[in-house]
Amino acid sequence: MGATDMRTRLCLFVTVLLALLAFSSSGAALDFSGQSRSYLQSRESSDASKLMPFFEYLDFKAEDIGSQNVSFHFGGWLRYDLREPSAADQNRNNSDLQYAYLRIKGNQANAAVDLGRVLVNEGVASEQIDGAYVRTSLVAGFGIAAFGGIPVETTFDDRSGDSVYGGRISHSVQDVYRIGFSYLKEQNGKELFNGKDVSKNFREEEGGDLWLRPLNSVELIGSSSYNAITAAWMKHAYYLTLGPFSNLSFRTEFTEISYKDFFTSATTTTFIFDPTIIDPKEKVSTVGEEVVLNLGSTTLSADYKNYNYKIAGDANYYGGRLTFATVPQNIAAGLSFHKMDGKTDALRYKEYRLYGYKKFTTADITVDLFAVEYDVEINGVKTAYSASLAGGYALSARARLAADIEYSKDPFFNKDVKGLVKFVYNFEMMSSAQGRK
Amino acid sequence: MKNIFPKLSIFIGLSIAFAAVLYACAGNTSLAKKHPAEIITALPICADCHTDWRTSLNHTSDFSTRHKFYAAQQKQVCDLCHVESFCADCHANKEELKPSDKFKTSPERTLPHRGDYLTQHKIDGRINPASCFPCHGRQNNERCKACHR
Repeated sequence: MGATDMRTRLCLFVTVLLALLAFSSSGAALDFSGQSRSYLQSRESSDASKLMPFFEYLDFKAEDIGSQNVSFHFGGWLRYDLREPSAADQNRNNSDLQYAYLRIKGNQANAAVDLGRVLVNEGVASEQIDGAYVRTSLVAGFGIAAFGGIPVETTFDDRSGDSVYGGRISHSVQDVYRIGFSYLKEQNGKELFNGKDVSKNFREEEGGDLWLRPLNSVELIGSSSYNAITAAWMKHAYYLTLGPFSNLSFRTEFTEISYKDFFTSATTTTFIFDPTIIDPKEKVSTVGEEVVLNLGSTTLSADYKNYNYKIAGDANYYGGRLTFATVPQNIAAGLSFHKMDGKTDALRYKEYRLYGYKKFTTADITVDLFAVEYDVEINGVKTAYSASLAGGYALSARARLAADIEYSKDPFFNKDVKGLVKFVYNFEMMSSAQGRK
Repeated sequence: MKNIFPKLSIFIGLSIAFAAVLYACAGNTSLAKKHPAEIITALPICADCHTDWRTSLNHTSDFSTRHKFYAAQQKQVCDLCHVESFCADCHANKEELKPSDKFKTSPERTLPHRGDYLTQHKIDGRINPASCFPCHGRQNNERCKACHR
Protein backbone atom coordinates (compact mmCIF):
# COMPACT_ATOMS: atom_id res chain seq x y z
CA MET A 1 0.00 0.00 0.00
CA GLY A 2 1.24 3.44 -0.89
CA ALA A 3 1.67 6.18 1.67
CA THR A 4 -0.93 8.30 -0.16
CA ASP A 5 -3.54 5.55 0.10
CA MET A 6 -2.75 5.13 3.77
CA ARG A 7 -3.08 8.87 4.42
CA THR A 8 -6.41 8.88 2.57
CA ARG A 9 -7.74 6.09 4.79
CA LEU A 10 -6.43 7.80 7.92
CA CYS A 11 -8.14 11.07 6.89
CA LEU A 12 -11.37 9.18 6.21
CA PHE A 13 -11.19 7.48 9.58
CA VAL A 14 -10.49 10.72 11.46
CA THR A 15 -13.33 12.45 9.58
CA VAL A 16 -15.81 9.72 10.53
CA LEU A 17 -14.61 9.75 14.13
CA LEU A 18 -14.93 13.53 14.42
CA ALA A 19 -18.38 13.44 12.80
CA LEU A 20 -19.57 10.86 15.31
CA LEU A 21 -18.09 12.79 18.25
CA ALA A 22 -19.68 16.00 16.96
CA PHE A 23 -22.98 14.18 16.67
CA SER A 24 -22.56 12.89 20.20
CA SER A 25 -21.78 16.34 21.63
CA SER A 26 -24.84 17.80 19.87
CA GLY A 27 -26.99 16.18 22.52
CA ALA A 28 -28.31 13.31 20.42
CA ALA A 29 -28.19 9.83 21.98
CA LEU A 30 -25.06 7.95 20.99
CA ASP A 31 -23.39 4.92 22.54
CA PHE A 32 -19.77 4.57 21.54
CA SER A 33 -17.60 1.57 22.47
CA GLY A 34 -14.53 -0.13 21.13
CA GLN A 35 -11.10 -1.53 21.68
CA SER A 36 -7.56 -0.51 20.92
CA ARG A 37 -4.94 -3.25 20.68
CA SER A 38 -1.26 -2.43 20.28
CA TYR A 39 1.28 -5.15 19.47
CA LEU A 40 5.05 -4.83 19.38
CA GLN A 41 6.67 -7.92 17.92
CA SER A 42 10.33 -8.82 17.81
CA ARG A 43 11.48 -11.54 15.43
CA GLU A 44 14.03 -12.51 12.82
CA SER A 45 13.33 -13.14 9.14
CA SER A 46 14.64 -16.09 7.14
CA ASP A 47 17.50 -13.88 5.87
CA ALA A 48 18.46 -12.98 9.48
CA SER A 49 17.06 -9.42 9.31
CA LYS A 50 16.01 -8.10 12.72
CA LEU A 51 12.34 -7.15 12.60
CA MET A 52 10.29 -5.13 15.05
CA PRO A 53 6.86 -4.34 13.60
CA PHE A 54 4.42 -2.29 15.65
CA PHE A 55 0.72 -2.91 15.02
CA GLU A 56 -2.24 -0.84 16.12
CA TYR A 57 -5.64 -2.49 15.80
CA LEU A 58 -8.64 -0.27 16.40
CA ASP A 59 -12.29 -1.24 16.35
CA PHE A 60 -15.35 0.58 17.55
CA LYS A 61 -19.08 0.79 17.10
CA ALA A 62 -21.35 3.79 17.51
CA GLU A 63 -24.91 2.80 18.28
CA ASP A 64 -28.16 4.70 18.54
CA ILE A 65 -27.07 7.34 16.05
CA GLY A 66 -30.18 9.45 16.18
CA SER A 67 -32.27 6.27 16.19
CA GLN A 68 -31.93 2.99 18.06
CA ASN A 69 -31.88 1.27 14.69
CA VAL A 70 -28.82 3.01 13.27
CA SER A 71 -25.23 2.09 14.09
CA PHE A 72 -21.76 2.48 12.61
CA HIS A 73 -19.04 -0.20 12.85
CA PHE A 74 -15.35 0.22 12.19
CA GLY A 75 -12.27 -2.03 12.32
CA GLY A 76 -8.79 -1.60 10.93
CA TRP A 77 -5.08 -1.76 11.62
CA LEU A 78 -1.83 0.02 10.92
CA ARG A 79 1.70 -1.39 10.95
CA TYR A 80 4.96 0.47 11.21
CA ASP A 81 8.38 -1.22 11.24
CA LEU A 82 10.72 0.09 13.93
CA ARG A 83 13.68 -1.87 12.53
CA GLU A 84 14.11 -3.60 9.15
CA PRO A 85 11.09 -3.74 6.77
CA SER A 86 9.02 -6.81 7.65
CA ALA A 87 7.11 -7.16 4.37
CA ALA A 88 8.36 -8.54 1.08
CA ASP A 89 7.59 -5.24 -0.68
CA GLN A 90 10.06 -3.47 1.67
CA ASN A 91 7.44 -0.91 2.75
CA ARG A 92 7.90 0.10 6.36
CA ASN A 93 4.20 0.61 6.86
CA ASN A 94 0.98 -1.08 5.89
CA SER A 95 -2.66 -0.89 6.88
CA ASP A 96 -6.02 -2.47 6.27
CA LEU A 97 -9.55 -1.27 6.58
CA GLN A 98 -11.17 -4.48 7.81
CA TYR A 99 -14.73 -3.18 7.93
CA ALA A 100 -16.54 0.15 8.05
CA TYR A 101 -20.25 0.15 7.55
CA LEU A 102 -23.44 1.88 8.51
CA ARG A 103 -26.14 -0.53 9.70
CA ILE A 104 -29.82 0.38 9.57
CA LYS A 105 -32.08 -2.18 11.21
CA GLY A 106 -35.81 -2.59 10.79
CA ASN A 107 -38.15 -2.81 13.74
CA GLN A 108 -39.05 -6.42 13.04
CA ALA A 109 -38.08 -9.63 11.24
CA ASN A 110 -34.31 -9.16 11.69
CA ALA A 111 -34.35 -6.77 8.76
CA ALA A 112 -31.09 -4.91 8.24
CA VAL A 113 -29.16 -2.97 5.62
CA ASP A 114 -25.37 -2.63 5.81
CA LEU A 115 -23.70 0.01 3.66
CA GLY A 116 -19.94 0.25 3.31
CA ARG A 117 -17.14 -2.31 3.70
CA VAL A 118 -18.90 -5.32 5.09
CA LEU A 119 -18.33 -9.05 5.52
CA VAL A 120 -21.17 -11.02 3.91
CA ASN A 121 -21.94 -14.55 5.07
CA GLU A 122 -24.81 -15.98 3.03
CA GLY A 123 -24.58 -19.58 1.82
CA VAL A 124 -21.85 -19.81 -0.83
CA ALA A 125 -20.85 -16.21 -0.13
CA SER A 126 -18.27 -15.45 2.51
CA GLU A 127 -17.10 -12.19 1.03
CA GLN A 128 -15.78 -8.80 2.03
CA ILE A 129 -17.38 -6.22 -0.23
CA ASP A 130 -17.55 -2.47 -0.61
CA GLY A 131 -21.26 -2.18 -1.24
CA ALA A 132 -24.65 -3.01 0.20
CA TYR A 133 -25.95 -6.05 2.09
CA VAL A 134 -29.69 -6.40 2.76
CA ARG A 135 -31.55 -9.20 4.55
CA THR A 136 -34.82 -9.91 6.30
CA SER A 137 -37.08 -12.67 7.49
CA LEU A 138 -40.38 -13.02 5.63
CA VAL A 139 -43.68 -14.75 6.35
CA ALA A 140 -44.02 -18.46 7.13
CA GLY A 141 -40.36 -19.07 7.96
CA PHE A 142 -38.91 -17.74 4.73
CA GLY A 143 -35.93 -15.43 4.61
CA ILE A 144 -34.15 -13.49 1.91
CA ALA A 145 -30.79 -11.74 1.56
CA ALA A 146 -29.06 -9.88 -1.26
CA PHE A 147 -25.74 -8.12 -1.65
CA GLY A 148 -23.74 -6.32 -4.28
CA GLY A 149 -20.67 -4.19 -4.68
CA ILE A 150 -16.96 -4.34 -5.37
CA PRO A 151 -15.09 -7.37 -3.99
CA VAL A 152 -12.35 -6.65 -1.45
CA GLU A 153 -9.63 -9.01 -2.59
CA THR A 154 -5.97 -9.12 -3.38
CA THR A 155 -5.84 -7.36 -6.70
CA PHE A 156 -3.86 -8.71 -9.61
CA ASP A 157 -4.73 -5.64 -11.67
CA ASP A 158 -6.88 -2.95 -10.08
CA ARG A 159 -10.48 -2.75 -8.85
CA SER A 160 -11.77 -0.98 -11.94
CA GLY A 161 -14.62 -2.97 -13.48
CA ASP A 162 -14.72 -5.54 -10.66
CA SER A 163 -18.11 -6.45 -9.24
CA VAL A 164 -19.78 -9.09 -7.11
CA TYR A 165 -23.42 -9.72 -6.36
CA GLY A 166 -25.65 -12.49 -5.13
CA GLY A 167 -28.22 -13.56 -2.64
CA ARG A 168 -29.79 -16.33 -0.64
CA ILE A 169 -33.33 -17.49 -0.04
CA SER A 170 -34.05 -19.72 2.91
CA HIS A 171 -36.76 -21.50 4.79
CA SER A 172 -36.75 -22.71 8.35
CA VAL A 173 -38.89 -24.42 10.92
CA GLN A 174 -37.46 -23.52 14.30
CA ASP A 175 -35.87 -26.46 16.12
CA VAL A 176 -36.25 -28.72 13.06
CA TYR A 177 -34.46 -27.41 9.98
CA ARG A 178 -33.06 -24.50 8.02
CA ILE A 179 -32.41 -24.83 4.32
CA GLY A 180 -31.01 -22.21 1.99
CA PHE A 181 -30.18 -21.74 -1.68
CA SER A 182 -27.64 -19.13 -2.66
CA TYR A 183 -26.03 -17.62 -5.74
CA LEU A 184 -22.95 -15.51 -6.33
CA LYS A 185 -21.47 -13.95 -9.45
CA GLU A 186 -18.18 -12.09 -9.58
CA GLN A 187 -16.76 -10.28 -12.57
CA ASN A 188 -13.30 -8.91 -13.01
CA GLY A 189 -12.38 -5.88 -15.06
CA LYS A 190 -9.18 -7.43 -16.29
CA GLU A 191 -9.34 -9.71 -19.28
CA LEU A 192 -6.39 -11.97 -18.57
CA PHE A 193 -5.19 -13.64 -15.38
CA ASN A 194 -2.55 -16.31 -15.77
CA GLY A 195 -3.30 -16.46 -19.50
CA LYS A 196 -7.05 -16.98 -19.00
CA ASP A 197 -9.78 -14.52 -19.99
CA VAL A 198 -11.61 -13.74 -16.74
CA SER A 199 -13.38 -10.56 -17.81
CA LYS A 200 -16.89 -12.07 -17.87
CA ASN A 201 -16.74 -15.40 -16.09
CA PHE A 202 -14.33 -14.99 -13.21
CA ARG A 203 -16.62 -16.69 -10.72
CA GLU A 204 -20.19 -17.97 -10.63
CA GLU A 205 -21.31 -20.22 -7.82
CA GLU A 206 -24.56 -21.75 -6.64
CA GLY A 207 -25.12 -23.66 -3.48
CA GLY A 208 -27.36 -25.22 -0.92
CA ASP A 209 -26.97 -25.21 2.84
CA LEU A 210 -28.73 -27.33 5.41
CA TRP A 211 -29.20 -27.57 9.17
CA LEU A 212 -31.38 -30.44 10.27
CA ARG A 213 -32.26 -31.41 13.83
CA PRO A 214 -34.97 -34.07 13.68
CA LEU A 215 -34.33 -35.15 17.28
CA ASN A 216 -32.68 -33.40 20.22
CA SER A 217 -29.63 -35.61 19.97
CA VAL A 218 -29.26 -35.66 16.18
CA GLU A 219 -27.94 -32.75 14.17
CA LEU A 220 -26.79 -32.54 10.56
CA ILE A 221 -25.20 -29.39 9.15
CA GLY A 222 -23.39 -28.73 5.91
CA SER A 223 -23.44 -27.31 2.43
CA SER A 224 -22.79 -28.11 -1.22
CA SER A 225 -21.40 -25.63 -3.73
CA TYR A 226 -21.59 -25.80 -7.50
CA ASN A 227 -19.33 -24.09 -10.03
CA ALA A 228 -21.65 -22.74 -12.74
CA ILE A 229 -18.72 -21.98 -15.05
CA THR A 230 -17.22 -25.48 -15.07
CA ALA A 231 -20.72 -26.98 -14.59
CA ALA A 232 -19.61 -29.31 -11.81
CA TRP A 233 -19.79 -29.63 -8.03
CA MET A 234 -16.95 -27.88 -6.22
CA LYS A 235 -17.43 -29.15 -2.72
CA HIS A 236 -19.73 -31.05 -0.40
CA ALA A 237 -19.16 -30.76 3.36
CA TYR A 238 -21.49 -32.26 5.98
CA TYR A 239 -21.18 -32.85 9.72
CA LEU A 240 -23.39 -35.16 11.76
CA THR A 241 -23.49 -34.89 15.55
CA LEU A 242 -25.11 -37.59 17.67
CA GLY A 243 -25.52 -37.10 21.40
CA PRO A 244 -24.82 -36.44 24.08
CA PHE A 245 -25.73 -39.90 25.35
CA SER A 246 -24.64 -40.05 29.00
CA ASN A 247 -21.84 -37.52 28.33
CA LEU A 248 -20.78 -39.33 25.16
CA SER A 249 -21.04 -37.59 21.75
CA PHE A 250 -20.25 -38.82 18.25
CA ARG A 251 -19.28 -36.45 15.46
CA THR A 252 -19.01 -37.64 11.88
CA GLU A 253 -17.79 -35.54 8.97
CA PHE A 254 -17.81 -36.03 5.23
CA THR A 255 -16.28 -33.77 2.60
CA GLU A 256 -15.62 -34.12 -1.10
CA ILE A 257 -13.70 -31.59 -3.19
CA SER A 258 -12.94 -31.47 -6.89
CA TYR A 259 -9.74 -29.42 -7.38
CA LYS A 260 -10.37 -28.42 -11.00
CA ASP A 261 -13.76 -26.97 -10.04
CA PHE A 262 -12.86 -25.59 -6.60
CA PHE A 263 -9.75 -23.52 -7.36
CA THR A 264 -10.97 -21.61 -10.41
CA SER A 265 -11.22 -18.11 -8.91
CA ALA A 266 -7.92 -17.58 -7.12
CA THR A 267 -6.21 -14.19 -7.23
CA THR A 268 -2.81 -15.76 -6.72
CA THR A 269 -0.95 -18.36 -8.73
CA THR A 270 -0.32 -20.27 -5.49
CA PHE A 271 -3.44 -22.31 -6.23
CA ILE A 272 -2.47 -23.09 -9.82
CA PHE A 273 -0.85 -26.42 -9.12
CA ASP A 274 2.30 -27.92 -10.53
CA PRO A 275 1.15 -31.38 -11.75
CA THR A 276 4.39 -32.93 -10.49
CA ILE A 277 3.39 -31.95 -6.93
CA ILE A 278 -0.44 -31.81 -6.89
CA ASP A 279 -2.51 -33.04 -9.82
CA PRO A 280 -4.94 -30.23 -10.75
CA LYS A 281 -7.56 -32.90 -11.55
CA GLU A 282 -7.31 -34.44 -8.10
CA LYS A 283 -10.46 -35.25 -6.15
CA VAL A 284 -10.27 -35.72 -2.40
CA SER A 285 -12.90 -37.05 -0.06
CA THR A 286 -12.56 -37.20 3.70
CA VAL A 287 -14.49 -39.20 6.23
CA GLY A 288 -13.88 -38.54 9.89
CA GLU A 289 -15.19 -39.59 13.26
CA GLU A 290 -14.65 -38.08 16.69
CA VAL A 291 -15.87 -39.61 19.93
CA VAL A 292 -16.05 -37.19 22.84
CA LEU A 293 -16.49 -38.06 26.49
CA ASN A 294 -17.44 -35.04 28.58
CA LEU A 295 -16.88 -35.43 32.32
CA GLY A 296 -17.63 -31.91 33.51
CA SER A 297 -14.37 -30.01 33.62
CA THR A 298 -12.54 -32.83 31.87
CA THR A 299 -13.07 -33.79 28.22
CA LEU A 300 -11.52 -36.80 26.54
CA SER A 301 -11.76 -37.32 22.80
CA ALA A 302 -10.46 -39.65 20.12
CA ASP A 303 -10.60 -38.80 16.42
CA TYR A 304 -9.88 -40.37 13.08
CA LYS A 305 -9.96 -38.91 9.58
CA ASN A 306 -9.32 -40.66 6.27
CA TYR A 307 -8.20 -38.65 3.24
CA ASN A 308 -9.01 -40.50 0.08
CA TYR A 309 -7.30 -39.08 -3.00
CA LYS A 310 -8.42 -40.25 -6.40
CA ILE A 311 -4.90 -39.87 -7.79
CA ALA A 312 -2.40 -39.62 -4.93
CA GLY A 313 -3.63 -42.43 -2.66
CA ASP A 314 -4.81 -42.42 0.94
CA ALA A 315 -3.73 -40.81 4.20
CA ASN A 316 -5.04 -41.34 7.70
CA TYR A 317 -4.95 -38.81 10.54
CA TYR A 318 -5.83 -40.00 14.01
CA GLY A 319 -5.19 -39.29 17.65
CA GLY A 320 -6.64 -38.12 20.93
CA ARG A 321 -7.04 -35.13 23.16
CA LEU A 322 -7.49 -34.59 26.89
CA THR A 323 -8.54 -31.16 28.13
CA PHE A 324 -9.43 -29.66 31.48
CA ALA A 325 -11.07 -26.28 32.11
CA THR A 326 -12.83 -24.80 35.10
CA VAL A 327 -15.85 -22.49 34.79
CA PRO A 328 -15.11 -19.61 34.85
CA GLN A 329 -11.80 -20.39 33.30
CA ASN A 330 -9.26 -19.95 36.08
CA ILE A 331 -7.37 -23.10 35.21
CA ALA A 332 -7.11 -24.80 31.82
CA ALA A 333 -4.86 -27.54 30.52
CA GLY A 334 -4.66 -29.73 27.46
CA LEU A 335 -2.70 -32.63 26.05
CA SER A 336 -3.00 -34.05 22.55
CA PHE A 337 -1.33 -36.49 20.21
CA HIS A 338 -2.02 -37.05 16.51
CA LYS A 339 -0.41 -39.08 13.79
CA MET A 340 -0.59 -38.52 10.04
CA ASP A 341 -0.01 -41.74 8.18
CA GLY A 342 0.17 -41.15 4.42
CA LYS A 343 1.81 -42.75 1.41
CA THR A 344 4.34 -40.00 0.80
CA ASP A 345 7.19 -38.95 3.12
CA ALA A 346 5.63 -35.50 3.67
CA LEU A 347 2.46 -37.16 4.95
CA ARG A 348 4.07 -39.20 7.71
CA TYR A 349 4.53 -37.36 10.98
CA LYS A 350 3.39 -37.15 14.61
CA GLU A 351 2.03 -34.05 16.38
CA TYR A 352 2.21 -33.38 20.11
CA ARG A 353 0.75 -30.51 22.11
CA LEU A 354 0.73 -29.66 25.80
CA TYR A 355 -0.59 -26.44 27.31
CA GLY A 356 -1.49 -24.99 30.67
CA TYR A 357 -3.20 -21.79 31.77
CA LYS A 358 -3.65 -20.36 35.26
CA LYS A 359 -5.45 -17.19 36.19
CA PHE A 360 -4.72 -15.34 39.40
CA THR A 361 -6.67 -12.31 40.66
CA THR A 362 -5.37 -9.80 38.12
CA ALA A 363 -2.72 -11.82 36.33
CA ASP A 364 -2.53 -14.97 34.23
CA ILE A 365 0.17 -17.21 32.86
CA THR A 366 0.17 -19.60 29.87
CA VAL A 367 2.64 -22.28 28.83
CA ASP A 368 2.27 -23.90 25.41
CA LEU A 369 4.44 -26.63 23.87
CA PHE A 370 3.96 -27.85 20.30
CA ALA A 371 6.06 -30.42 18.47
CA VAL A 372 6.01 -32.25 15.14
CA GLU A 373 8.14 -35.33 14.59
CA TYR A 374 8.70 -36.18 10.92
CA ASP A 375 9.23 -39.77 9.85
CA VAL A 376 11.76 -38.52 7.31
CA GLU A 377 13.98 -35.53 8.11
CA ILE A 378 13.29 -32.18 6.46
CA ASN A 379 16.41 -30.06 5.93
CA GLY A 380 18.20 -32.38 8.36
CA VAL A 381 15.65 -31.79 11.12
CA LYS A 382 13.67 -34.71 12.51
CA THR A 383 11.64 -32.80 15.10
CA ALA A 384 10.28 -29.27 14.94
CA TYR A 385 9.08 -27.72 18.15
CA SER A 386 8.02 -24.45 19.68
CA ALA A 387 7.63 -23.48 23.32
CA SER A 388 5.96 -20.30 24.43
CA LEU A 389 5.51 -18.60 27.77
CA ALA A 390 2.92 -15.84 28.02
CA GLY A 391 1.70 -13.66 30.83
CA GLY A 392 -1.00 -11.05 31.21
CA TYR A 393 -1.82 -8.44 33.82
CA ALA A 394 -5.03 -6.42 34.20
CA LEU A 395 -3.89 -2.85 34.84
CA SER A 396 -7.50 -1.79 35.37
CA ALA A 397 -11.00 -2.90 34.42
CA ARG A 398 -10.34 -1.48 30.94
CA ALA A 399 -6.62 -1.98 30.36
CA ARG A 400 -4.57 -5.14 30.05
CA LEU A 401 -0.89 -5.70 29.37
CA ALA A 402 0.41 -9.03 28.08
CA ALA A 403 3.71 -10.34 26.82
CA ASP A 404 5.02 -13.60 25.48
CA ILE A 405 8.22 -15.19 24.32
CA GLU A 406 8.41 -18.13 21.94
CA TYR A 407 11.39 -20.35 21.27
CA SER A 408 11.31 -22.68 18.30
CA LYS A 409 13.46 -24.94 16.20
CA ASP A 410 12.30 -26.18 12.82
CA PRO A 411 13.59 -27.11 9.34
CA PHE A 412 13.89 -23.44 8.37
CA PHE A 413 14.95 -21.72 11.60
CA ASN A 414 17.64 -22.96 13.94
CA LYS A 415 16.86 -21.58 17.40
CA ASP A 416 14.32 -18.92 16.54
CA VAL A 417 13.23 -16.59 19.34
CA LYS A 418 10.18 -14.32 19.00
CA GLY A 419 8.73 -11.90 21.48
CA LEU A 420 5.52 -9.92 21.59
CA VAL A 421 4.15 -7.23 23.90
CA LYS A 422 0.44 -6.45 23.74
CA PHE A 423 -1.55 -3.63 25.29
CA VAL A 424 -5.34 -3.71 25.15
CA TYR A 425 -7.60 -0.83 26.10
CA ASN A 426 -11.40 -0.98 26.05
CA PHE A 427 -13.27 2.29 25.82
CA GLU A 428 -16.87 3.38 25.83
CA MET A 429 -18.87 6.56 26.07
CA MET A 430 -22.50 6.24 27.00
CA SER A 431 -24.86 9.11 26.38
CA SER A 432 -27.83 7.15 27.74
CA ALA A 433 -28.25 7.32 31.51
CA GLN A 434 -28.48 3.56 31.94
CA GLY A 435 -25.37 2.77 29.99
CA ARG A 436 -24.74 -0.32 27.89
CA LYS A 437 -26.56 -3.54 28.56
CA MET B 1 -28.43 -7.73 -28.78
CA LYS B 2 -31.97 -7.17 -27.60
CA ASN B 3 -32.26 -4.58 -24.83
CA ILE B 4 -33.42 -6.50 -21.75
CA PHE B 5 -33.11 -3.50 -19.38
CA PRO B 6 -36.85 -2.61 -19.24
CA LYS B 7 -37.87 -6.20 -18.51
CA LEU B 8 -35.09 -6.60 -15.96
CA SER B 9 -36.12 -3.35 -14.22
CA ILE B 10 -39.74 -4.52 -14.03
CA PHE B 11 -38.65 -7.92 -12.68
CA ILE B 12 -36.42 -6.35 -10.01
CA GLY B 13 -39.09 -3.80 -9.08
CA LEU B 14 -41.76 -6.48 -8.71
CA SER B 15 -39.40 -8.68 -6.69
CA ILE B 16 -38.65 -5.84 -4.28
CA ALA B 17 -42.36 -5.00 -3.96
CA PHE B 18 -43.19 -8.67 -3.34
CA ALA B 19 -40.45 -8.95 -0.69
CA ALA B 20 -41.71 -5.73 0.95
CA VAL B 21 -45.22 -7.18 1.23
CA LEU B 22 -43.87 -10.43 2.72
CA TYR B 23 -41.74 -8.43 5.15
CA ALA B 24 -44.73 -6.29 6.16
CA CYS B 25 -46.75 -9.43 6.80
CA ALA B 26 -43.95 -11.20 8.68
CA GLY B 27 -44.73 -9.51 11.97
CA ASN B 28 -42.14 -11.53 13.88
CA THR B 29 -39.83 -9.78 16.31
CA SER B 30 -36.12 -9.42 15.72
CA LEU B 31 -33.44 -11.05 17.81
CA ALA B 32 -32.21 -9.08 20.82
CA LYS B 33 -29.37 -6.66 20.24
CA LYS B 34 -27.15 -8.50 22.68
CA HIS B 35 -27.28 -11.80 24.53
CA PRO B 36 -29.18 -10.92 27.73
CA ALA B 37 -26.80 -12.77 30.01
CA GLU B 38 -23.09 -12.11 29.98
CA ILE B 39 -21.15 -15.18 28.86
CA ILE B 40 -18.44 -15.77 31.43
CA THR B 41 -16.93 -19.02 30.23
CA ALA B 42 -14.13 -19.03 27.71
CA LEU B 43 -15.86 -21.59 25.48
CA PRO B 44 -19.59 -21.27 26.20
CA ILE B 45 -21.85 -24.30 26.25
CA CYS B 46 -25.28 -23.00 25.24
CA ALA B 47 -26.89 -26.24 26.46
CA ASP B 48 -26.10 -25.18 30.02
CA CYS B 49 -29.14 -22.87 29.77
CA HIS B 50 -31.01 -23.83 26.57
CA THR B 51 -32.64 -27.05 25.43
CA ASP B 52 -33.79 -26.06 21.93
CA TRP B 53 -31.97 -25.35 18.61
CA ARG B 54 -29.50 -23.13 20.44
CA THR B 55 -27.77 -26.19 21.92
CA SER B 56 -26.24 -26.78 18.48
CA LEU B 57 -24.20 -23.61 19.04
CA ASN B 58 -22.23 -25.20 21.91
CA HIS B 59 -18.65 -24.06 21.46
CA THR B 60 -17.20 -27.54 21.74
CA SER B 61 -13.71 -28.44 20.52
CA ASP B 62 -14.94 -29.04 16.96
CA PHE B 63 -17.01 -25.84 16.76
CA SER B 64 -14.26 -23.97 14.94
CA THR B 65 -14.59 -26.48 12.08
CA ARG B 66 -18.37 -26.07 11.86
CA HIS B 67 -18.82 -22.38 12.75
CA LYS B 68 -18.80 -21.32 9.08
CA PHE B 69 -22.08 -23.16 8.45
CA TYR B 70 -23.88 -21.41 11.30
CA ALA B 71 -22.49 -18.04 10.18
CA ALA B 72 -23.59 -18.71 6.58
CA GLN B 73 -27.14 -19.38 7.74
CA GLN B 74 -27.74 -16.87 10.52
CA LYS B 75 -24.84 -14.63 11.40
CA GLN B 76 -27.17 -12.40 13.40
CA VAL B 77 -27.06 -15.08 16.11
CA CYS B 78 -23.25 -14.82 16.25
CA ASP B 79 -23.65 -11.04 16.60
CA LEU B 80 -25.49 -11.51 19.89
CA CYS B 81 -22.17 -12.23 21.63
CA HIS B 82 -19.41 -11.34 19.15
CA VAL B 83 -18.47 -7.91 17.83
CA GLU B 84 -17.36 -7.73 14.19
CA SER B 85 -13.67 -7.52 15.10
CA PHE B 86 -13.90 -11.04 16.52
CA CYS B 87 -14.50 -12.32 12.97
CA ALA B 88 -12.05 -9.86 11.39
CA ASP B 89 -9.19 -11.12 13.55
CA CYS B 90 -9.02 -14.16 11.25
CA HIS B 91 -11.25 -13.35 8.26
CA ALA B 92 -9.56 -10.37 6.70
CA ASN B 93 -8.52 -9.02 3.36
CA LYS B 94 -5.01 -8.50 4.70
CA GLU B 95 -3.55 -9.86 7.91
CA GLU B 96 0.06 -9.90 9.01
CA LEU B 97 -0.20 -11.24 12.56
CA LYS B 98 -1.14 -14.89 12.97
CA PRO B 99 -4.28 -15.34 15.11
CA SER B 100 -2.32 -17.74 17.33
CA ASP B 101 0.24 -14.95 17.96
CA LYS B 102 -2.48 -12.43 18.82
CA PHE B 103 -4.03 -14.69 21.42
CA LYS B 104 -1.17 -16.53 23.08
CA THR B 105 -2.99 -16.38 26.43
CA SER B 106 -5.98 -18.30 25.04
CA PRO B 107 -4.48 -21.74 24.44
CA GLU B 108 -7.88 -23.44 24.59
CA ARG B 109 -8.99 -21.73 21.38
CA THR B 110 -8.61 -23.61 18.12
CA LEU B 111 -6.54 -21.10 16.18
CA PRO B 112 -4.84 -21.81 12.88
CA HIS B 113 -1.10 -21.91 12.28
CA ARG B 114 0.22 -22.64 15.77
CA GLY B 115 3.92 -23.34 16.14
CA ASP B 116 6.21 -23.61 13.12
CA TYR B 117 3.77 -23.07 10.30
CA LEU B 118 6.37 -22.39 7.61
CA THR B 119 7.18 -26.09 7.47
CA GLN B 120 3.67 -27.26 8.25
CA HIS B 121 1.99 -25.18 5.53
CA LYS B 122 3.72 -27.27 2.88
CA ILE B 123 2.35 -30.40 4.47
CA ASP B 124 -1.16 -29.03 5.02
CA GLY B 125 -1.13 -27.64 1.49
CA ARG B 126 -0.57 -31.10 0.08
CA ILE B 127 -3.06 -32.81 2.39
CA ASN B 128 -5.89 -30.46 1.54
CA PRO B 129 -5.16 -27.17 -0.28
CA ALA B 130 -8.90 -26.44 -0.18
CA SER B 131 -8.51 -25.77 3.54
CA CYS B 132 -6.12 -22.86 2.71
CA PHE B 133 -8.33 -21.43 -0.04
CA PRO B 134 -11.20 -19.79 1.90
CA CYS B 135 -8.77 -17.46 3.72
CA HIS B 136 -5.94 -17.19 1.18
CA GLY B 137 -7.46 -17.95 -2.22
CA ARG B 138 -8.81 -14.55 -3.18
CA GLN B 139 -7.55 -12.39 -0.31
CA ASN B 140 -4.95 -12.32 2.42
CA ASN B 141 -2.35 -13.83 0.10
CA GLU B 142 0.23 -11.07 -0.29
CA ARG B 143 2.71 -13.09 1.76
CA CYS B 144 2.12 -16.18 -0.41
CA LYS B 145 3.44 -14.26 -3.39
CA ALA B 146 6.83 -13.77 -1.75
CA CYS B 147 7.63 -17.41 -2.59
CA HIS B 148 4.78 -18.60 -4.86
CA ARG B 149 5.45 -16.50 -7.95
